[in-house]
This record gives sequence, C-alpha cells and structure tokens, in this order.
Amino acid sequence: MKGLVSTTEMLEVPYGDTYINLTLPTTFGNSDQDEEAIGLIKERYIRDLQVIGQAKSRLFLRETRAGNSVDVEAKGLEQHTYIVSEHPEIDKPDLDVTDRGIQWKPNKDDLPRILSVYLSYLEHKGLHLRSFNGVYLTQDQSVKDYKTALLDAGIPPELLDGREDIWQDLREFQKDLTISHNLNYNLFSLEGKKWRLKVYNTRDARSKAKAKIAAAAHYYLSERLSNDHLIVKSESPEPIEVNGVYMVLQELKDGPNV
Amino acid sequence: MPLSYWLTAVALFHKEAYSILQEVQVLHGFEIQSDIRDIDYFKDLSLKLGRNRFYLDLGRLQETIDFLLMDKDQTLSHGDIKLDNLWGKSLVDLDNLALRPVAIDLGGLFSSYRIPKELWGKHLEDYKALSGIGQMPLERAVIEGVNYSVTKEVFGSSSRRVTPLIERRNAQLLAYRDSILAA
Repeated sequence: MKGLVSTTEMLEVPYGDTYINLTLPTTFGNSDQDEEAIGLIKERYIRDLQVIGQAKSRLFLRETRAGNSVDVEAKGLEQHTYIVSEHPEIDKPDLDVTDRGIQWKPNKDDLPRILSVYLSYLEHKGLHLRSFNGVYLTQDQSVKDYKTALLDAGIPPELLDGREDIWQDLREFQKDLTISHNLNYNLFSLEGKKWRLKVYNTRDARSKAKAKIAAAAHYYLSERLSNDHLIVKSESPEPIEVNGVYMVLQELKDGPNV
Repeated sequence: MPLSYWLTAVALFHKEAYSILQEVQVLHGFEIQSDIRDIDYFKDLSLKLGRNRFYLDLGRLQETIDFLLMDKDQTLSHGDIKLDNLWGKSLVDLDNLALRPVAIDLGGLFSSYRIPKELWGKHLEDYKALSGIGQMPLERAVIEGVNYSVTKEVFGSSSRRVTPLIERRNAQLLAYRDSILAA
C-alpha cells in the first residue's frame, strides 16, 4: 500500500523526554504527492513504526514513554480541536488527544506543538487550515520572518518546525498584548546540539534593556573572561530584531547541571 | 559541576565582568544600572498569585531589602543564579546583569545547592580570596541574599508557567530559605 496511512505505519514524534505516536487519516497517503510529504515528516520526526490501526478523517495521538508503548483506545476523549479545511478531501477532520490510561495530560500549551506536526504535513499538501475558534494555525508571514532570522543564526530547521508554541508567543508579542516578561525556550537537536532562545518585548523598556545587555554580555564576556568556558557566546553583540521583537540565542555546551 | 566550581566561577565573574562590560556598553547602547527590587514588586507578585499561595513575610523582606541597599560589596552580578542557569560548565542567561550586592548571587548559589549554614564559612573565605570582595561581613549579607533571591525566584517563577519540576524546586527553595532565616 502506498503512503503512510496503512495498517502498518504510524508517526512517533519526539515530545520532551517522551514520544507521541500519531496516526494520520486514511484519506491521506494515496498519491505520490502524499508519499513525498510523508517522506518529509518521516525524515524529521519518525524514530520507529508500529501498528496501531487506522481511522478515516481522524487523527489519533498516543504516547510512548521510555520505549514502552501504551495501548490506549481512542475513547473517552477529553480534549479535541476541530480543524476546518478548505480541502474537500478532508472536510472537518478531527484532532483528538487521548489521555485515558496514560500519565500525560495535554493542555493548551501542549496542543499547538502536537498540531504543528499535523500541520507540517497538511501545509505541504497546500491546505489552508484554521481551528474552529478561528485562530489560524498555518504559518503566516511574520512566522516566516522569525524562522528565517533563526535559521540565519544557525538553528537547524528541524528544531523550529514543531514549535508552534514559539510562533504563537511571538505573534502575541508583536500584537503588543500584555506580555512584559521575557520568554525562554530550549531547542535541542537529536544530534545533541542545544540552544537557548530568549524572546523579549521591545515595547517594554525593561525587557528591551535586558535583551541588549544579555546579547552584549554573552558576546564579549565569552571572549574576555579568564575562564573561557564560563559564558556561552551569543550569535551577535546585538539582539536579533524581527517585527519589533528581540531574540537572543545562546549556544549551550554540555548538559544541564542537574 | 560541584559547588566549588561555581563558587570560583562566580568569584571570577564578580571580579572581571564589570570592567569588561564598561568598555563595551557605549557601543551597544545599554547602561549598567543598579537593581534591587523594592517591596512593592513583591507585593504585586503576591497579589497576582492570589492571597495565601505562598506566605510572604513583608516585614522580614523589607529588612532584607534595606540591608542590601546599604551593602557596600556591590559589583556587576548575574542576579538570577539558579539550577536552570548553571548549565554544564557555563553560567547562562545574563539578562539580569546589574550592579547589586554580591550576596544576592551567593545566596542564589547556596540555595541552589542547599548548603547548610554551618558550612558557609570555608566557602565564603574561598570566595573572598578569589574575588577580592568582602569589605562587610559576608555571612550576614548572604543570609539576606538567600531571602531575597529565593523569594524573587519563587514568586517570579510562580507567576509564569509552572511545571511540576518548578513547583518541586520552589518548595525546596522555600524550605531552605526558612531554615537559613531560622538559624
């Protein structure tokens, strides 16, 4: 059978210390174009393939912890998001997140990250999507701007593809909502490279000042302190500015202290 | 890394960072400022979190702030020393850099490692020898540094996204702070 959506394939998506297993609807995966999209997703996300079944126009998520797959029936669903599609082939597919029998309970902070994996597939098919509450989930121009700046700064693309959480926060900063504190993200590649991305709202004077001193301090102190391991270097002595938002990147060495 | 590594690192940072950044600040349009949060900052955070979320002894905290404002052992300090920012061999997240008493960084470091007060003496002697800082009795100042840094971290982190790990660490930090203040 062509494509990902057969009875013998599923996606396993890295999620923190664990993995989320993901099955795509049976309506996908039947063309050469789908084959290409699936190849793209596999390349970025798949670690292993297992049999979990199939379902039409529905997306099931399951979790595997520490390599032990938890077999969860897609019943008793507590959270769901309806995705409206302009593509007749997948009219109103559901996205359901199961939390029965597993420790992981999705919340609104988790959902965008999971959705983004699904969207990366659908976007590749040229579909335009929005959630039923009207929030557009596909990448807009501003997201592309942020992404380009981070790619230019040396972040591998696969670390950014699944981070709808970051883009959502950046959009809110851009719209000057009430966020005044800085935000913090760790970006880890499977090869062990790590960055810390800090995001600052330039409309908040204190936040803006923090970004400027952080970028300069990381840049110069990493070179000039007697202990050359002590401060990690920032990409530039100035924050990266995109759409009125400041970003400072630190390339982390080694692992966390604890 | 062991505490001794970080103690050396912080001493070196306090000794050298200010003069390095003084040279470059004009280039990048930032100003090295003093920073000790006042009592209203903590009151606001406490209100934001909701009454009784954490006990906040405003009188004792005011005493701490008053002490730190008079502390002469000030230099450019990290200002946010916690386990998350001690990464491998590196001190990360320099966005809170400001002139403030060194006791705040030392308080953050001792709290991260939960060093019993009876073991502070040797560590503080080492710090003084390496940094050349310590005009005032450091031990008393670090008690205030523990109160300030732990209160700031617990109230600050709790007003953002709280994960189970942060919740657990905050409980440990508060227990440590209370043990130091009671000693």
